[in-house]
Amino acid sequence: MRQPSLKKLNDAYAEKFGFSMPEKSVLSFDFGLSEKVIEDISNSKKEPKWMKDFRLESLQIFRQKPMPTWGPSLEEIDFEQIRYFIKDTDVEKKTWDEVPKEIKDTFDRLGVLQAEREFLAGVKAQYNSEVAYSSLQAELDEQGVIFCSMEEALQKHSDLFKEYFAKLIPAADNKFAALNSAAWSGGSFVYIPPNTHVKRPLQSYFRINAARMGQFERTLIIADEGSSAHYVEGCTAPVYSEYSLHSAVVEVFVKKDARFRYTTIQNWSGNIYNLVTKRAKVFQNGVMEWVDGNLGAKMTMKYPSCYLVEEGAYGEMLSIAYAKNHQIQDTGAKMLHLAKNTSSKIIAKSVSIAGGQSNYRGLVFISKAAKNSKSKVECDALILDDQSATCTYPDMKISGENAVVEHEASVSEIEEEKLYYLMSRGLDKTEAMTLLVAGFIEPIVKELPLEYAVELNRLIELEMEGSVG
Amino acid sequence: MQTVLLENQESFILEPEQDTLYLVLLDKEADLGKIKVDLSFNKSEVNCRLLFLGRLKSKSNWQIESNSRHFVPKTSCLTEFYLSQADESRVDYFGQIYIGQKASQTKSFLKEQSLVLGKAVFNRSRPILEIFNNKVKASHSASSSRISETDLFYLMSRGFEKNEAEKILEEAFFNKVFDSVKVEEARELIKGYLC
Amino acid sequence: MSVLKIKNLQVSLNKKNILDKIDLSIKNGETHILMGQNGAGKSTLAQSIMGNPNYSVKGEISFDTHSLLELDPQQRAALGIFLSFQQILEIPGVKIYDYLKLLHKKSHEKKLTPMKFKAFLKERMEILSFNEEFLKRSLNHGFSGGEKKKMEVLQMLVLEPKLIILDEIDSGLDIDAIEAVAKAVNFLKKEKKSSVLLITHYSRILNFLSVDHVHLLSKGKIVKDGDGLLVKQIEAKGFAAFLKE
Repeated sequence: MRQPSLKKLNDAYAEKFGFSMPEKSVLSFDFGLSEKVIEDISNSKKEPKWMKDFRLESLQIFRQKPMPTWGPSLEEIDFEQIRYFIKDTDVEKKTWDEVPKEIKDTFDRLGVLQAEREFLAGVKAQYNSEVAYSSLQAELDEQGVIFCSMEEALQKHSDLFKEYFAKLIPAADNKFAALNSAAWSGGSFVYIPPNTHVKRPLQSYFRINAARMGQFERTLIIADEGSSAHYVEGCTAPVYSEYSLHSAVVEVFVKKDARFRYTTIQNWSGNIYNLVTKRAKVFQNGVMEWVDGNLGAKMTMKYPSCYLVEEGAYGEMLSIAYAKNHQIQDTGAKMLHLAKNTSSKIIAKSVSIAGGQSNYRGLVFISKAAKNSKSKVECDALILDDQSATCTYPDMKISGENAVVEHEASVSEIEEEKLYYLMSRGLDKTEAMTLLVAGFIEPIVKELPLEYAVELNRLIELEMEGSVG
Repeated sequence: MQTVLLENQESFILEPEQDTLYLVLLDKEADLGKIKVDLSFNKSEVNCRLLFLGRLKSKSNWQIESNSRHFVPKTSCLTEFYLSQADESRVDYFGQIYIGQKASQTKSFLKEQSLVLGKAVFNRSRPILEIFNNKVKASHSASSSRISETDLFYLMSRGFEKNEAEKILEEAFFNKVFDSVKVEEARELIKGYLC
Repeated sequence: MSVLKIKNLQVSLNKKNILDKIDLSIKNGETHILMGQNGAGKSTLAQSIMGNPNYSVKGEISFDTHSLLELDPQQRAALGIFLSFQQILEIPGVKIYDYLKLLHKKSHEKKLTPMKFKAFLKERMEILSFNEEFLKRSLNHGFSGGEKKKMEVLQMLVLEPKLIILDEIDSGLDIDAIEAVAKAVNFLKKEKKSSVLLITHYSRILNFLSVDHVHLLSKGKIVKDGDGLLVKQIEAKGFAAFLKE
């Protein structure tokens, strides 16, 4: 049943995902970061003065901040070789013919629609979403929900925007947050009014265009008191981008009694450094849930955090990392308990295959003020061959009285007995391994919206076919 | 299995040649404590257990580090910490398991339990796994919690004072470890430490 | 024609001999019973036929025209051999419905539409009085002993094997469940002319199955062959009486 060309395709998919598009295909723009580039960005967006000043200040901070001294090496990033701004119209200059065959083949295997393919490959700036989206927009308007681009929000909802923007992740938080603050472009703005419940997931996928999906996305979400919603970003199909650095910032405010879930599935092409700062501030009895799946990229560094600042706040993180072909997935979560009766849960599952490395890096902090707080952390790593690696770096700092903290981490391989059991029912080794890997991540996959779960399983199947020896 | 007591030193660099139970009994009287144990496994078929027991007194401040590094196939290590913490005691614990690419069929586990007895206790722990081989079993678990209120209530309902009940539960906490040690020599040492 | 033919089979596990000079042949549509005390080597024989990589095997096992020893478990399954395990593994996260669908796809040339597959599965679940709710659960995960056994038999009904090997499928089952399992075996015997090798300690399941041959295994050797009556005799007198002979 296996197609003869499949091995070849997968080899190509595996080895050559880290290609970059020929430079000639893009109009030349200034490389490197300068005041001029930052001003160009701000001017082209017709931003108010405060934002332009914010960007320029952030640039200074970026220049002063050292690179992180912990975690995987970022030495190869050359900030002068990065193009910091590109207009939609330039994206359109690229043609479908220029998209590498490997990417096209993968789209074929996944059954991605042509309209989506062009968009994912960066050929088309705007992905023309289906009717479903406009009916969602009407529903949202009726509820008073704001769901628009950051640029639009800055123009149309400036007070709200200014009240929250960069309040949770200031430019000085870290070098990459500073870079994002200086050069940000695109991303979503969401405001949910008090006691409003948004039933359908807000999907950034239907909204984004190439500019918004740019390398320095910025997302700002405010779930007002008693509201609830689910935001979904990314997609399982590989996203090709010629930018080598993606550094997004996401700020989420979860007000009293509100409930918010933020789901991310990312599958960047293998040439990309994906360095993201995500943070949520959770107020009294609020609930924040991060669901995060990372499959692609050369290196991912992402540790979504919850600042549990008022009594009864709850933070949760469910993550899947899949590292192959010398990729490094360095992911985890931070839970900061800053008020009493707060609780948190982290479940992280990772798969390392064909020379990939998955790391869990996490923090649980229970401050003196956080009496009677609870935290539970579970990290499970699956390592499929002797070329791959997995590391776990948790940090737990506990001073709160009556704190209950539990942490468990385990590393395992696919059990031979299970493999034999499944093979004795007629499955070949690859199918059996795929099934067991899918079973391993199922507890997290089942939390994804159905279409994402189905696609993710299909993608793992495709990945495994080429990687199991 | 031989028993080796690690004492009177801040740092131990060890390369076990045979199955060994390393026992570390943290000084009950110390205000400031520091200990580091490095175990490097360079000989196959060697199985070790590294057991830290500590009743940390009020206002004491401890820095503890353990490293189990496995470089050859077929070694195993069980690293365990059982600590009880009195008022305002502080522990900063760093524990690492490293399994190199050649060290297939390694088993290495790290288990850390602290029982909080007093107020204003600080506890930091960083249990680290670095695994570069797939034919291994490795895990770490850490838990930190107060004496269970239910247990305390149960004992008090049988007529024990609160501090007596706490003492009984602390003993019970350590007894679980004591029972898991089969080597007579080590049992005597632990018994001496606990009373 | 023989479906399964075993000749001069020797099996060892971790260098310890378990089976010695085993000869056995099972013809099309026949039902054979394998009995013996604990540790006699019954499960080892079953696992050797299926190709468990932990055992080292010498001698001959052939199935139809194929020599089995060079084949891996998957290839043996593809030929139509099925083994229900004695120790049944739990595989969390593997959804039963998807799994059964995959098994059907692997074992049948003709694909069924989702609707038809559902009907196919429903019919087979009814044989075992299995609740459809089970389809949403993970494979054997959190199942009771009896549910696990029935799940093995359901997989058998989906695969429709030519040779059914059941390793103590009746242990720990209540009488209703035993009858259901026998019904499933009889269903395949009738519909697919399947052959059966049943390992058991008890005669209860034989009230629902017709038996062609009985083999008594002791210390790695087949010490007695007989027909259905042998089971009654063993049950009446105990194994020891036969082993002395």
